[in-house]
Amino acid sequence: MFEQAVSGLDLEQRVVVLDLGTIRSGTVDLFAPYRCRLDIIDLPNTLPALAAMEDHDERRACLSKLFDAHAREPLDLILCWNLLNYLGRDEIHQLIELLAPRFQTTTRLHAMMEYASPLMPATPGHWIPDANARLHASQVDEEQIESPRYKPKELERIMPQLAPERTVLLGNGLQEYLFRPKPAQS
Amino acid sequence: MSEQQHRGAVIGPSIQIDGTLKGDEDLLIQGKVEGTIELKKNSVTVGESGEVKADIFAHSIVVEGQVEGKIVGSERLVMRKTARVRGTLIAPRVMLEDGARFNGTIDMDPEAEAIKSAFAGQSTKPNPPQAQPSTASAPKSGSSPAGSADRS
Repeated sequence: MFEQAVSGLDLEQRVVVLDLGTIRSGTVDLFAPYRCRLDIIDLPNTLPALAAMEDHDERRACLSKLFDAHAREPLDLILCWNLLNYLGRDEIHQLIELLAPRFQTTTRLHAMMEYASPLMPATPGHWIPDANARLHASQVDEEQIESPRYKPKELERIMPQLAPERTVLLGNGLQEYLFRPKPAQS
Repeated sequence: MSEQQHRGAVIGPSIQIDGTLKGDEDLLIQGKVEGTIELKKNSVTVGESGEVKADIFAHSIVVEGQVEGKIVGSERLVMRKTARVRGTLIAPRVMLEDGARFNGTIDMDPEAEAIKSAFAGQSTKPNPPQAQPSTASAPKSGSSPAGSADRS
Protein backbone atom coordinates (compact mmCIF):
# COMPACT_ATOMS: atom_id res chain seq x y z
CA MET A 1 0.00 0.00 0.00
CA PHE A 2 2.87 2.37 0.80
CA GLU A 3 4.29 1.56 -2.62
CA GLN A 4 1.02 2.71 -4.12
CA ALA A 5 1.20 6.02 -2.25
CA VAL A 6 4.79 6.64 -3.35
CA SER A 7 4.16 5.64 -6.95
CA GLY A 8 1.50 8.36 -7.11
CA LEU A 9 4.15 11.04 -6.59
CA ASP A 10 5.49 12.88 -9.62
CA LEU A 11 9.28 12.89 -10.08
CA GLU A 12 9.07 16.16 -12.02
CA GLN A 13 6.95 18.08 -9.53
CA ARG A 14 7.86 19.29 -6.06
CA VAL A 15 6.48 16.94 -3.43
CA VAL A 16 6.08 17.59 0.28
CA VAL A 17 6.31 14.66 2.68
CA LEU A 18 5.77 14.85 6.44
CA ASP A 19 7.38 12.10 8.51
CA LEU A 20 5.96 11.92 12.04
CA GLY A 21 8.61 9.42 13.10
CA THR A 22 12.30 9.37 13.83
CA ILE A 23 14.27 10.11 10.68
CA ARG A 24 15.81 7.04 9.03
CA SER A 25 18.29 6.80 6.18
CA GLY A 26 15.85 4.71 4.11
CA THR A 27 13.28 7.49 4.14
CA VAL A 28 15.77 10.12 2.99
CA ASP A 29 17.14 7.81 0.30
CA LEU A 30 13.66 6.90 -0.96
CA PHE A 31 12.62 10.50 -1.52
CA ALA A 32 16.03 11.80 -2.65
CA PRO A 33 15.28 11.27 -6.39
CA TYR A 34 12.24 13.50 -6.06
CA ARG A 35 12.14 17.27 -5.89
CA CYS A 36 11.22 16.67 -2.27
CA ARG A 37 10.73 18.68 0.85
CA LEU A 38 10.76 16.28 3.78
CA ASP A 39 9.37 17.64 7.05
CA ILE A 40 10.36 15.66 10.12
CA ILE A 41 8.51 15.93 13.42
CA ASP A 42 10.10 13.32 15.66
CA LEU A 43 7.01 12.52 17.73
CA PRO A 44 8.24 9.13 19.04
CA ASN A 45 11.02 10.92 20.88
CA THR A 46 8.48 13.43 22.22
CA LEU A 47 6.15 10.76 23.61
CA PRO A 48 7.85 10.46 27.05
CA ALA A 49 7.56 14.23 27.55
CA LEU A 50 3.93 14.18 26.41
CA ALA A 51 3.13 11.28 28.73
CA ALA A 52 4.61 13.15 31.68
CA MET A 53 2.20 16.04 31.13
CA GLU A 54 -0.99 15.52 33.10
CA ASP A 55 -2.62 18.72 31.94
CA HIS A 56 -4.49 18.48 28.63
CA ASP A 57 -3.72 22.11 27.69
CA GLU A 58 -0.04 21.56 28.37
CA ARG A 59 0.03 18.55 26.01
CA ARG A 60 -1.86 20.54 23.41
CA ALA A 61 0.62 23.42 23.68
CA CYS A 62 3.54 21.00 23.35
CA LEU A 63 2.14 19.48 20.16
CA SER A 64 1.22 22.88 18.71
CA LYS A 65 4.75 24.13 19.29
CA LEU A 66 6.19 21.23 17.28
CA PHE A 67 3.95 22.02 14.33
CA ASP A 68 4.29 25.81 14.50
CA ALA A 69 7.90 25.49 13.45
CA HIS A 70 6.90 24.12 10.08
CA ALA A 71 5.83 26.03 7.03
CA ARG A 72 2.35 25.78 5.65
CA GLU A 73 3.22 24.19 2.30
CA PRO A 74 0.45 21.70 1.33
CA LEU A 75 1.28 18.08 2.03
CA ASP A 76 1.38 15.24 -0.47
CA LEU A 77 2.17 12.37 1.87
CA ILE A 78 2.16 11.91 5.64
CA LEU A 79 4.09 9.00 7.18
CA CYS A 80 2.49 7.92 10.44
CA TRP A 81 3.96 4.49 11.00
CA ASN A 82 2.94 2.89 14.29
CA LEU A 83 2.67 6.26 16.01
CA LEU A 84 -1.09 6.49 16.54
CA ASN A 85 -0.99 3.40 18.78
CA TYR A 86 0.96 5.45 21.29
CA LEU A 87 -1.34 8.47 21.33
CA GLY A 88 -4.61 8.87 23.19
CA ARG A 89 -7.85 9.77 21.43
CA ASP A 90 -7.53 13.48 22.29
CA GLU A 91 -3.95 13.60 21.08
CA ILE A 92 -4.80 11.91 17.78
CA HIS A 93 -7.70 14.30 17.31
CA GLN A 94 -5.47 17.28 18.01
CA LEU A 95 -2.69 15.97 15.80
CA ILE A 96 -4.99 15.70 12.79
CA GLU A 97 -6.49 19.10 13.61
CA LEU A 98 -3.01 20.59 13.44
CA LEU A 99 -2.29 18.85 10.13
CA ALA A 100 -5.63 19.58 8.46
CA PRO A 101 -4.75 23.12 7.25
CA ARG A 102 -2.05 21.51 5.08
CA PHE A 103 -4.35 18.93 3.50
CA GLN A 104 -5.15 19.06 -0.20
CA THR A 105 -7.28 16.66 -2.24
CA THR A 106 -4.22 14.60 -3.16
CA THR A 107 -2.84 14.34 0.40
CA ARG A 108 -2.52 10.79 1.72
CA LEU A 109 -1.74 9.64 5.26
CA HIS A 110 -0.14 6.22 5.58
CA ALA A 111 -0.44 4.57 8.99
CA MET A 112 0.22 1.25 10.70
CA MET A 113 -2.06 0.33 13.62
CA GLU A 114 -2.13 -2.56 16.07
CA TYR A 115 -5.31 -4.48 15.35
CA ALA A 116 -5.25 -8.17 16.17
CA SER A 117 -2.96 -8.34 19.19
CA PRO A 118 -3.98 -7.04 22.64
CA LEU A 119 -0.31 -6.29 23.31
CA MET A 120 2.25 -4.20 21.48
CA PRO A 121 5.89 -3.15 21.98
CA ALA A 122 6.27 -0.67 24.85
CA THR A 123 7.90 1.89 22.58
CA PRO A 124 7.27 2.57 18.88
CA GLY A 125 9.50 0.54 16.60
CA HIS A 126 11.08 1.96 13.48
CA TRP A 127 9.86 1.29 9.97
CA ILE A 128 12.45 1.69 7.26
CA PRO A 129 11.50 1.86 3.61
CA ASP A 130 13.78 0.28 1.04
CA ALA A 131 14.43 1.58 -2.47
CA ASN A 132 11.24 -0.15 -3.66
CA ALA A 133 9.13 1.55 -0.97
CA ARG A 134 8.68 -1.70 0.89
CA LEU A 135 8.65 -1.21 4.66
CA HIS A 136 10.83 -3.19 7.05
CA ALA A 137 10.41 -3.16 10.83
CA SER A 138 13.45 -2.71 13.05
CA GLN A 139 14.34 -2.15 16.70
CA VAL A 140 11.21 -3.74 18.13
CA ASP A 141 10.99 -3.30 21.90
CA GLU A 142 10.69 -6.70 23.63
CA GLU A 143 8.81 -5.17 26.56
CA GLN A 144 5.09 -5.09 25.85
CA ILE A 145 2.16 -2.93 26.88
CA GLU A 146 -1.56 -3.07 26.23
CA SER A 147 -2.56 -2.11 22.72
CA PRO A 148 -5.42 0.39 22.22
CA ARG A 149 -6.58 -1.61 19.15
CA TYR A 150 -8.38 1.36 17.62
CA LYS A 151 -11.10 0.13 15.26
CA PRO A 152 -11.56 1.71 11.84
CA LYS A 153 -14.90 3.27 12.78
CA GLU A 154 -13.42 4.71 15.95
CA LEU A 155 -10.53 6.22 14.00
CA GLU A 156 -12.99 7.86 11.64
CA ARG A 157 -14.73 9.38 14.65
CA ILE A 158 -11.46 10.60 16.18
CA MET A 159 -10.17 11.89 12.85
CA PRO A 160 -13.27 13.35 11.18
CA GLN A 161 -11.15 15.14 8.56
CA LEU A 162 -9.96 11.82 7.09
CA ALA A 163 -11.51 8.76 5.48
CA PRO A 164 -9.78 5.44 4.85
CA GLU A 165 -9.04 4.94 1.16
CA ARG A 166 -7.59 1.46 1.62
CA THR A 167 -7.06 -0.81 4.60
CA VAL A 168 -5.04 -4.00 4.72
CA LEU A 169 -4.81 -6.48 7.57
CA LEU A 170 -1.21 -7.65 7.63
CA GLY A 171 -0.03 -11.09 8.61
CA ASN A 172 1.66 -9.73 11.74
CA GLY A 173 -1.65 -8.43 13.09
CA LEU A 174 -1.09 -4.82 12.10
CA GLN A 175 -3.68 -2.93 10.13
CA GLU A 176 -2.24 -0.80 7.34
CA TYR A 177 -4.22 2.31 6.36
CA LEU A 178 -4.09 4.83 3.58
CA PHE A 179 -6.25 7.79 4.56
CA ARG A 180 -7.38 10.65 2.32
CA PRO A 181 -9.00 13.95 3.32
CA LYS A 182 -12.76 14.05 3.22
CA PRO A 183 -13.97 16.38 0.46
CA ALA A 184 -15.21 19.06 2.85
CA GLN A 185 -11.72 19.30 4.35
CA SER A 186 -9.74 19.47 1.14
CA MET B 1 36.59 13.82 12.10
CA SER B 2 39.75 14.47 14.10
CA GLU B 3 41.75 17.66 13.77
CA GLN B 4 44.69 15.58 12.47
CA GLN B 5 42.58 14.24 9.60
CA HIS B 6 41.24 17.65 8.68
CA ARG B 7 42.97 19.91 6.16
CA GLY B 8 41.87 23.48 6.69
CA ALA B 9 40.92 25.76 9.52
CA VAL B 10 39.91 24.37 12.89
CA ILE B 11 37.85 25.95 15.63
CA GLY B 12 38.96 24.04 18.69
CA PRO B 13 36.73 22.75 21.50
CA SER B 14 37.56 25.63 23.86
CA ILE B 15 36.79 28.35 21.31
CA GLN B 16 33.48 30.23 21.21
CA ILE B 17 32.66 32.57 18.34
CA ASP B 18 29.70 34.93 18.00
CA GLY B 19 29.26 36.61 14.63
CA THR B 20 29.83 35.95 10.95
CA LEU B 21 32.48 33.52 9.70
CA LYS B 22 33.63 33.88 6.08
CA GLY B 23 36.57 32.43 4.20
CA ASP B 24 38.05 30.39 1.40
CA GLU B 25 39.20 27.22 3.09
CA ASP B 26 37.58 24.18 4.61
CA LEU B 27 36.54 24.47 8.24
CA LEU B 28 36.22 22.01 11.12
CA ILE B 29 34.22 23.24 14.10
CA GLN B 30 34.80 21.50 17.42
CA GLY B 31 33.87 24.54 19.52
CA LYS B 32 30.82 26.78 19.77
CA VAL B 33 29.66 29.12 17.04
CA GLU B 34 26.65 31.42 16.99
CA GLY B 35 25.76 33.63 14.04
CA THR B 36 26.38 32.91 10.36
CA ILE B 37 28.94 30.73 8.58
CA GLU B 38 29.56 31.45 4.90
CA LEU B 39 32.11 29.25 3.12
CA LYS B 40 30.23 28.88 -0.12
CA LYS B 41 33.09 27.29 -2.07
CA ASN B 42 34.35 25.07 0.73
CA SER B 43 33.29 22.40 3.15
CA VAL B 44 32.20 22.84 6.74
CA THR B 45 32.35 19.99 9.25
CA VAL B 46 30.68 20.33 12.61
CA GLY B 47 32.66 17.83 14.69
CA GLU B 48 31.26 15.67 17.47
CA SER B 49 32.01 18.29 20.11
CA GLY B 50 30.84 21.15 17.91
CA GLU B 51 27.81 23.19 18.98
CA VAL B 52 26.50 25.53 16.33
CA LYS B 53 23.55 27.90 16.52
CA ALA B 54 23.94 29.48 13.15
CA ASP B 55 22.92 29.51 9.52
CA ILE B 56 25.57 27.65 7.51
CA PHE B 57 26.17 28.18 3.79
CA ALA B 58 28.83 25.95 2.25
CA HIS B 59 29.64 23.77 -0.75
CA SER B 60 29.40 20.61 1.33
CA ILE B 61 28.51 20.18 4.98
CA VAL B 62 29.09 17.28 7.37
CA VAL B 63 27.40 17.28 10.77
CA GLU B 64 28.67 15.05 13.56
CA GLY B 65 27.69 17.33 16.46
CA GLN B 66 24.85 19.69 17.34
CA VAL B 67 23.41 22.28 14.99
CA GLU B 68 20.41 24.54 15.28
CA GLY B 69 19.62 26.76 12.31
CA LYS B 70 19.41 26.76 8.55
CA ILE B 71 22.02 24.63 6.78
CA VAL B 72 22.40 25.21 3.07
CA GLY B 73 24.80 23.09 1.00
CA SER B 74 25.16 23.70 -2.72
CA GLU B 75 26.54 20.20 -3.32
CA ARG B 76 25.74 17.82 -0.46
CA LEU B 77 24.95 17.49 3.18
CA VAL B 78 25.85 14.54 5.40
CA MET B 79 24.42 13.84 8.86
CA ARG B 80 26.48 11.31 10.79
CA LYS B 81 24.91 9.04 13.41
CA THR B 82 26.07 11.31 16.22
CA ALA B 83 24.40 14.39 14.72
CA ARG B 84 21.72 16.26 16.66
CA VAL B 85 20.08 18.79 14.37
CA ARG B 86 17.09 21.09 14.60
CA GLY B 87 16.26 23.39 11.73
CA THR B 88 16.10 23.47 7.96
CA LEU B 89 18.49 21.55 5.73
CA ILE B 90 18.66 22.53 2.09
CA ALA B 91 20.88 20.63 -0.35
CA PRO B 92 20.40 18.73 -3.60
CA ARG B 93 21.98 15.62 -2.05
CA VAL B 94 21.39 14.64 1.54
CA MET B 95 22.88 11.58 3.22
CA LEU B 96 21.96 10.46 6.69
CA GLU B 97 23.27 7.76 8.99
CA ASP B 98 20.74 5.96 11.16
CA GLY B 99 21.06 7.18 14.70
CA ALA B 100 21.13 10.84 13.74
CA ARG B 101 18.42 12.87 15.48
CA PHE B 102 16.63 15.52 13.49
CA ASN B 103 13.61 17.77 13.79
CA GLY B 104 12.81 20.16 11.01
CA THR B 105 12.76 20.24 7.24
CA ILE B 106 15.01 18.65 4.64
CA ASP B 107 14.61 20.30 1.26
CA MET B 108 16.22 18.24 -1.50
CA ASP B 109 14.59 20.16 -4.34
CA PRO B 110 17.40 21.65 -6.46
CA GLU B 111 14.85 24.12 -7.81
CA ALA B 112 14.04 25.37 -4.29
CA GLU B 113 14.23 29.15 -4.11
CA ALA B 114 16.32 29.10 -0.93
CA ILE B 115 19.22 27.24 -2.51
CA LYS B 116 19.03 29.25 -5.73
CA SER B 117 19.18 32.56 -3.90
CA ALA B 118 21.91 31.44 -1.49
CA PHE B 119 24.19 30.30 -4.32
CA ALA B 120 23.23 32.66 -7.12
CA GLY B 121 25.52 32.07 -10.10
CA GLN B 122 26.65 28.63 -8.99
CA SER B 123 25.26 25.38 -10.38
CA THR B 124 23.31 23.39 -7.82
CA LYS B 125 21.59 20.92 -10.11
CA PRO B 126 22.55 17.33 -9.30
CA ASN B 127 23.00 14.61 -11.85
CA PRO B 128 19.68 13.03 -12.81
CA PRO B 129 18.73 10.11 -10.59
CA GLN B 130 20.10 6.80 -11.82
CA ALA B 131 17.33 4.76 -10.34
CA GLN B 132 13.80 5.60 -9.41
CA PRO B 133 11.68 3.80 -6.86
CA SER B 134 10.40 0.81 -8.73
CA THR B 135 6.90 1.40 -7.45
CA ALA B 136 6.19 3.28 -10.64
CA SER B 137 6.87 0.14 -12.63
CA ALA B 138 4.99 -3.10 -12.82
CA PRO B 139 3.51 -4.29 -9.54
CA LYS B 140 5.49 -6.89 -7.68
CA SER B 141 4.03 -9.90 -6.05
CA GLY B 142 3.96 -9.85 -2.26
CA SER B 143 4.45 -6.12 -2.19
CA SER B 144 3.06 -5.84 1.32
CA PRO B 145 4.78 -7.49 4.25
CA ALA B 146 4.31 -11.24 4.33
CA GLY B 147 0.91 -12.63 5.11
CA SER B 148 -1.09 -9.53 4.25
CA ALA B 149 -4.65 -9.74 3.05
CA ASP B 150 -6.10 -6.81 1.15
CA ARG B 151 -9.47 -5.94 2.55
CA SER B 152 -10.05 -2.72 0.62
